[in-house]
Amino acid sequence: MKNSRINVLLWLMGTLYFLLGLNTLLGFFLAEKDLMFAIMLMVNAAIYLFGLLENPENLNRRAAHLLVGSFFSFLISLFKIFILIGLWLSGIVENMCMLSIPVANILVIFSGIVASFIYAATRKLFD
Amino acid sequence: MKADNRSPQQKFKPIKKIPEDNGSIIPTKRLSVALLGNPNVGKTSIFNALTGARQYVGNWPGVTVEKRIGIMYHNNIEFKITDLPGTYTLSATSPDEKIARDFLLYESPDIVIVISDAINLERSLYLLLQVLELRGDVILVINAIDEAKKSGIYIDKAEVEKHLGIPIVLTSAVTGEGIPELKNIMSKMKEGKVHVHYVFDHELEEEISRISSILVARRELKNYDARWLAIKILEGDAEIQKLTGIEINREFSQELAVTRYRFIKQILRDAYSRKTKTKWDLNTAIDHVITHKFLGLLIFLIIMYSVFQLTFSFGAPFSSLIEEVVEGLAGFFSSLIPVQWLSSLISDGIISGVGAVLVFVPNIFILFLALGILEESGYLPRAAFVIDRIMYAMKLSGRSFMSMILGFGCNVSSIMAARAINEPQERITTILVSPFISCSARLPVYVLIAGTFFGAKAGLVVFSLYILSIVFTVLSALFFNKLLYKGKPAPMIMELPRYRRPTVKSLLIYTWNRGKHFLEKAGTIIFAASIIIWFLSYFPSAGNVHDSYAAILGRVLEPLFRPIGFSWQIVTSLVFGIAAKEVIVSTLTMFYSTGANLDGGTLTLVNSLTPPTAFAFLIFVLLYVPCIATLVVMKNETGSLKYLIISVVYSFTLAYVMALLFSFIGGYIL
Repeated sequence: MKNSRINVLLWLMGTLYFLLGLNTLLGFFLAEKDLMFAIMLMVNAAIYLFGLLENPENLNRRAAHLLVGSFFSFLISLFKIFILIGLWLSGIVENMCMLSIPVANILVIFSGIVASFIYAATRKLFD
Repeated sequence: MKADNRSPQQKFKPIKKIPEDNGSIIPTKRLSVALLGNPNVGKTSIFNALTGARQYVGNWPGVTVEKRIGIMYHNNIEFKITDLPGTYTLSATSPDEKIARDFLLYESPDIVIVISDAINLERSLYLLLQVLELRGDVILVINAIDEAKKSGIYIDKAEVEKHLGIPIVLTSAVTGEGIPELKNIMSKMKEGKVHVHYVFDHELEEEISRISSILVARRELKNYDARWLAIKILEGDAEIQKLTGIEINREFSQELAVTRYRFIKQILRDAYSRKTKTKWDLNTAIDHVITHKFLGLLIFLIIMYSVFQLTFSFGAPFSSLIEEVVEGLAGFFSSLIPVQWLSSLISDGIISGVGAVLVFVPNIFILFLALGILEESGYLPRAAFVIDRIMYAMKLSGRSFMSMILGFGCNVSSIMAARAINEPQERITTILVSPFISCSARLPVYVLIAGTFFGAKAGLVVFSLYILSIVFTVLSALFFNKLLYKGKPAPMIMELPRYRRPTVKSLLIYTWNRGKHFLEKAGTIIFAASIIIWFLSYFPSAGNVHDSYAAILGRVLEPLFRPIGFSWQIVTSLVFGIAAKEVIVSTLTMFYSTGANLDGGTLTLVNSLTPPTAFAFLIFVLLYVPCIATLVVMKNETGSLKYLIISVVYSFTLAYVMALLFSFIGGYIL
């Protein structure tokens, strides 16, 4: 993976997760208001964006932020999926539907799946 | 202290028999074996591989703080294998290191297996040389050979054997490579008394000879190796100086270490090669971000939040299912038994009391599974590294944090793990503050109260309690250090282990080993406590809780807690909670399910507390007097009743003040 590609990905993913965090904070589009989850997304954004503050000549340092950031993005989507499974099962036990589109925060889940491919590609740099 | 002169057959009786791996039932010979090595080199993995035991293997230094014993049969020989705590030297600077050294010195095992890490062989060989100075019949196991191969490391086994003159086995506890070879070597091991082939500088050798000649003449020391004692005296080992009564004016520890390292370098030069690294490996890359000055702490916080949120949310449906089963059982027995007191004892006392705790089993297991993933992957030592800066400001080191983090499971483990802390003052402080780390026994109380009063914010409330527990722990550490001691803590020197993908088997062992403790408590302490609480709340007025012994006890203490807003039911539950924190849940369930009413209407938990008082109650549960098991271990580990009294008085005072404070300010926040 080239340096320029890493830089672009850091920008893109950092901005995406910052916006996802903002969206979750405000409950604006397909998301339920959730302060703590918004903070998680913002921290994930910070992992990407701090990579841009590293020495531009040092590919390893920048790629490390992309690697860990994308892994966290994937973990966050897994976290959300587990929460949704918990809600779905609770709904079955309580005999009511507890799931909704805003609760699912589908954009975060989708972004996490995309991030898993970025993680797989970045990991090759360190194998 | 005397060396053990008994024959191997007399020396021990097998504690646990593991199915033998090759044939005969009656052993023709019995041998005792010690597993020794640096922390986190895989001693417990090798122990499990040899004995078939299922001890938890952690991915951080200091998991084993006590001896573990298992039995292995091979070639008609019974091996009693002892897994010793990790140690870097035989100088015994901390209690767990002392356990390892004392075992070699006074238990005289027939064989010593020194486990080393193929990737960090140099440091492991230093310990091996010290063992070889002490005794023969040593096997060197170079573990994690699979990881070494992946890292481009080549070890010439024959060359290492040539230098050291002892059997060498290359193993991987993960893949099982080398384990059969190790078993064969153990069964063929003959008494060799091989001593290491290097000599110290002329001046040192003269000193060693001079002291040895004095020691050889001493009859009471005839069971010790005179040369080893002389080396230890020259190293300035206080225990050996006391044993021999010989003190020297000048220490030679540095000169001795230099000679040992010179010998190690020579071995490595001839037998160890590694491809030079041109780029970062995965560990370096992950550590660059995970231990980042700013990001490290934020990452730690979001990870912990996710753990507690998952514990609460994902466990909820399973808890509900168990709750329905418990309610069904209680109803069934209530209608089945015609005798009122017996029906009440079984349904309201035993089933509701124990069931109230069992309801939280899914939460506990999910919490341990998540903590297991963090430990197993190697993240926890990184968390300690990140926290070390804050801990140092509080005059503690990250080593204390490692011990404390075990307290999330059980405070008893946390206090035991403090054995790995070298500084006595830091160790005492860690023991005193460990009970403030929120153990799993408190989780059922949090889940019950947070779920009842805070709805969708329950996960956040539980997370905030865990954060508060860390805050109170570090502030209390600062207070105890100011009050009891002066000076700075020793800087944390801890090697960060390699990241590993957690295996399903290891996670299941971890989760089960920790979680079963909770189930055992439900079947023993909580069962007994449920019967006692039922008795106290049923008698003497045949089921009228308000005139029961429990009510009398609660009402006596209620005025003390009235400023916080706790009713007598809450106060009584706190008193019983000293036996085990889960008992609080059993007590509350029993009181409120039997309608402990004041004016005819059914009193529920919801209308007996307001949200601020409920939060104050949670704070009180977090901070007040540790459970009996913790107090007993605290007394044993500090060897003093003084610290136990300090802990009880301090924790109760802190809990009271903080609960009072939160009950006042909580109204503005919640």
